[in-house]
Amino acid sequence: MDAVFASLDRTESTLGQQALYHRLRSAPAADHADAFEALVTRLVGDEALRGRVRRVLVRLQHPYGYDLWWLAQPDAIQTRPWHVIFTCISALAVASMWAIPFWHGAVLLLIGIGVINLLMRITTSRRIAPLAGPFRQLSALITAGDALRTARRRHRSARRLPAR
Amino acid sequence: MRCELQGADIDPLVACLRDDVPPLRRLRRIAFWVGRDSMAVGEQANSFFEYLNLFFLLDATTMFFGARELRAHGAALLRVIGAVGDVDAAMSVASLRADLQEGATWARPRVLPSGSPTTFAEMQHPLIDTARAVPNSIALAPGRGVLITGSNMSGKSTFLRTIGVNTVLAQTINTCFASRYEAPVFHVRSCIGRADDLLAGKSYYIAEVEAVLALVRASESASPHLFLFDELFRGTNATERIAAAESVLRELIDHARPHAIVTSTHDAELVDLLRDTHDAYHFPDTLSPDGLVFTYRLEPGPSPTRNAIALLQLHGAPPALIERALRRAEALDQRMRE
Repeated sequence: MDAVFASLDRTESTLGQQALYHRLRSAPAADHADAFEALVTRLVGDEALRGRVRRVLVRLQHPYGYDLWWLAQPDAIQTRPWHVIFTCISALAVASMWAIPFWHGAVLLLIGIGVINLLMRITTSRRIAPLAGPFRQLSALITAGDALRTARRRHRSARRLPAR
Repeated sequence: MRCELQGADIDPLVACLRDDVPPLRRLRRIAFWVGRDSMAVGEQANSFFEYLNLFFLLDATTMFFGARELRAHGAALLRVIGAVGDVDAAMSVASLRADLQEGATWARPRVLPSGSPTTFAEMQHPLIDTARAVPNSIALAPGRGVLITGSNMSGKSTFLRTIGVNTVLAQTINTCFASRYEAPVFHVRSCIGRADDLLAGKSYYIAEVEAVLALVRASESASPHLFLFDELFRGTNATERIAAAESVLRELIDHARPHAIVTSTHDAELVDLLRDTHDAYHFPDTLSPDGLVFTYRLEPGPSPTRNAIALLQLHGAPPALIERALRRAEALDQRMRE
C-alpha cells in the first residue's frame, strides 16, 4: 500500500501527505466520505482556486511539518518558572547593545552575555532543537490557514472583476 | 470532532478556519522569532537568524512564550492542521483524477448495502502502466467464493492485489481504477506474499497458519469482509495443503456472513472439491518456442493447462529428467483419479 500511496500522492505539503496517508490507511472506510468527495469535486471544477490553494500549501514542504501535530498536544513544551531567565538574558542583551554608544563597557557586557548564551545554547540544544524545527513551521501553517480562510472569498471577488 | 469536513461544500471548512485561525495569530508572531527553515528563506537569512540567536537567545525565549499559547490554543491548532491537510489531500485526489482523465479508466464507487452482489468491471492495478495493464472484470456473489487458477506469472497474485488495492481506494478516496465498482463497504483482509520470520523463529508455514487463523476468526464478524488468499498453505505438502485449504474456505463460506472470498491456487483438486461453493476462473497461457505466453485476461472455468514440466524442458533440463517427471506426473494423476 505504501507503493500505491507513493504513486498516487500529489500533495504539496507534509500535512497533506499525512492526511492522505491517514485516509488511505483508514479501515474499512475513511471518515466524512461525502464531505471529502464534495471538497474534491469543488476543487476539480475550479482551477483558479486550485492554483491559489497550491501556492499557499507549497510553503509547508519541510519535513518538520510531520511533527506539527505533536506541538499541538497538551504540554508538548514543558516550561519551568526559572525559564524566565532566558527572557531576562535576552532583555539584558538588548539593553547592553542599546547602551554601547553611551558606555563602552557595554561591549564587554555584550560579549559576556554572548558567551553565557553560547553555553546555555549548548546545554539546552538537545531539548530545544527538536522543538525548534516544528515550531518554525507554525508561521507557515497559520499563514496557510489564513490564506485558505479567505481563498474562496478572494476568488469570488476576482470573478466579479470584468475580463480584460 | 473534525469540524473541517462536513456538509457538501468547502464552506464548513472555511467557516472552521475562520473561527480557529484568528486566535493563532499571536502564536504566529511569536513563532516568527524562532527563525525560518532554510528551505523557505535561504541559507543567508537562516545564518542571520542564527547570529541573532547567539546574542538574544531567541529560540529559548520564543519557546517560553510559545508554550503558553500552545497550551491555550492547542485544540484550534490541531483543527487547522487537520483542515489544511484535508484540503491538500483533496487537492491531491483532484489532481489524480485530472491525470487519469487523460489515460486510465477510473470510476467513483457505488456503495451497496451489506450482502449485495459485488461487481468490479475493467479493473486494473494503479501501479501498472496503463498502456501495459490488462483490465479484468469479476462478479462476486454473496455466499459463494471465487477460485482462480493459472500458471506462475499468469497474473493471479496481481489480480488479487488489484482487487484489494481498488477496494481500499474506493472506500477511502472515492476513486478506483475500474470502469464500474459496485460493492458493500468491505473490511479488506488478505494473505498474500507471506515470508518466514527469522527474528521470531517462525517458519513460512507457521507464519501462514497464524495469518490464516486470524482471518478465520475475523470471518465470524457480521460486517462484510473481503478475503484474499494467494496460494493457501503452499509451505506444506500437497495432500494436507489441499485438505486444509478446502476446510478453511468452507469455514469462511459456512459462516453465512456477507463476505466475499477470492483465492488463487495451483491445485486443480481444490477447484473440484469446492465446486459447490466456489466459482472457478483462470488466467490462460500458451506454450510457444520462446516460452509461456500470457494474456493476463481472466476467463471463466478452471485452467485447462499445466506447464511446469514443459517450462523445465524449455529452460534446458536434460531429456531424461523431463521424461522421468512426466512419468511421475502421470502416475500421480492416476492415483488422484483412483
